[in-house]
Amino acid sequence: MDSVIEAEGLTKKYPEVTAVNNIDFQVKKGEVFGFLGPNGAGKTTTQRILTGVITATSGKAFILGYDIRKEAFYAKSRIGVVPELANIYIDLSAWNNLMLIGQLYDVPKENRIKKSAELLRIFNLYERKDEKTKVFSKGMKQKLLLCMALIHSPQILFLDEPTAGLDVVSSRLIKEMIAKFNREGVTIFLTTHNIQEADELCNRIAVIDHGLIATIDSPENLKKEFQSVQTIEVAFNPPIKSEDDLKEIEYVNKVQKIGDKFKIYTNNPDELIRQLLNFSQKRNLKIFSLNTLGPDLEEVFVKITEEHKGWSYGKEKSFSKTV
Amino acid sequence: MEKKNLFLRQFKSTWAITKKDMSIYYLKPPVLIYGFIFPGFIFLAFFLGKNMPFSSLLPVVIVLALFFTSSSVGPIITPWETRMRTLERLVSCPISLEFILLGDILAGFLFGVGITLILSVFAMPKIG
Repeated sequence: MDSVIEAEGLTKKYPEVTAVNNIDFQVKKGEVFGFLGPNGAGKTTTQRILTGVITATSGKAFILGYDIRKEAFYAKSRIGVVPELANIYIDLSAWNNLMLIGQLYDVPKENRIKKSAELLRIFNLYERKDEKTKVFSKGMKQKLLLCMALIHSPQILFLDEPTAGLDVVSSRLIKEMIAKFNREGVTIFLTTHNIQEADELCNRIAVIDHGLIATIDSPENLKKEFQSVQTIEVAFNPPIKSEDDLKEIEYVNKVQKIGDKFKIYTNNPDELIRQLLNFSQKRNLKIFSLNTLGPDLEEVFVKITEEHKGWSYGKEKSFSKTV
Repeated sequence: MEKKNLFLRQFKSTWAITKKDMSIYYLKPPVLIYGFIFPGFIFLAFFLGKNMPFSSLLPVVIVLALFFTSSSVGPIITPWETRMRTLERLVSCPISLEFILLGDILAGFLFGVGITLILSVFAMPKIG
């Protein structure tokens, strides 16, 4: 089986709003699939449909070939879920939380104990396994949620904002673990609005906005498609006072002041560099630093969602793209 | 998986939920108030100022205990778990909503039966 997650015409309507609007996509076995979008785009709703927490108004979702609506038991047995908000039992210890989830996934007692100890050691929680989790920090709760999602060795792992609000060390550990489990063959469905995280971890990214899928592609292809958002960072000595002078230069699309530098957006970096040299010579300025940067995913994301706003009124259906 | 095995596996999960409910909710303040203090005060309202022998009021104690204790756990669990978002965690596990609710009902039933049995054991010799 090539595709392990399939969404066909998935729609979720609430009385006031259509959270997910007829989306189609497939996730291949062994890939890290990013589901990227701004707040309220429909990311979490999609994940909750795929994990069987809520039912779709229409459309179908298949997990490893099982219909999540009709064969929920078989589909849910094979997936691990890390929801957005920490929802461990705070009145139970870390160990008892794991035992409970192990029992719900019917993991034999011996394996349950072995796997729990192994996971708690990986996430540096073993020493505090007997403490009630109400005293745990957000990062520790998040790590425990990951342990709970992995106790039955799932084939697919659904992660909803797994590093949101965490410190750098916890966030890095979680990202390393996601990459490790993926190398071991676990397919990852990563819902996030953290573009850097998606760029680092994902093989493919779906950008969702207003309940519609705007595009699905690899991070690098997305960046290539948006060459017009290439940027040049330049600093002059002595520093120039206003970015308005730079705006008059040919090939400049947009200028942004960042500290003592200027970030200039262009679709022709080669010509722009020549123009900047002329500009500095004419004004007797020294170029202190000059860096050309490819389009970063953040810019691509902003561009896609901005375009999408314009499209969403008249061409909703045609914007949804199937891969 | 056969239907029978599927049922048995879900029932095992139900029992895990019941055990979890027993360890978390039996000592929660709302359960203690509704399950012990409330029936205690209702009993006192019947007992005080009336010239009735204590032994004839013991069946009232048992009935009050059965009614209040068995209905004190269930109404706490679902709102509590919804608010703490632990219900969502359970729903994403391979167990149907009916079996999750059965686990919660079972926890309430066992609490009521347990307390009533304890009271009955002490009351029976006095009732005769």
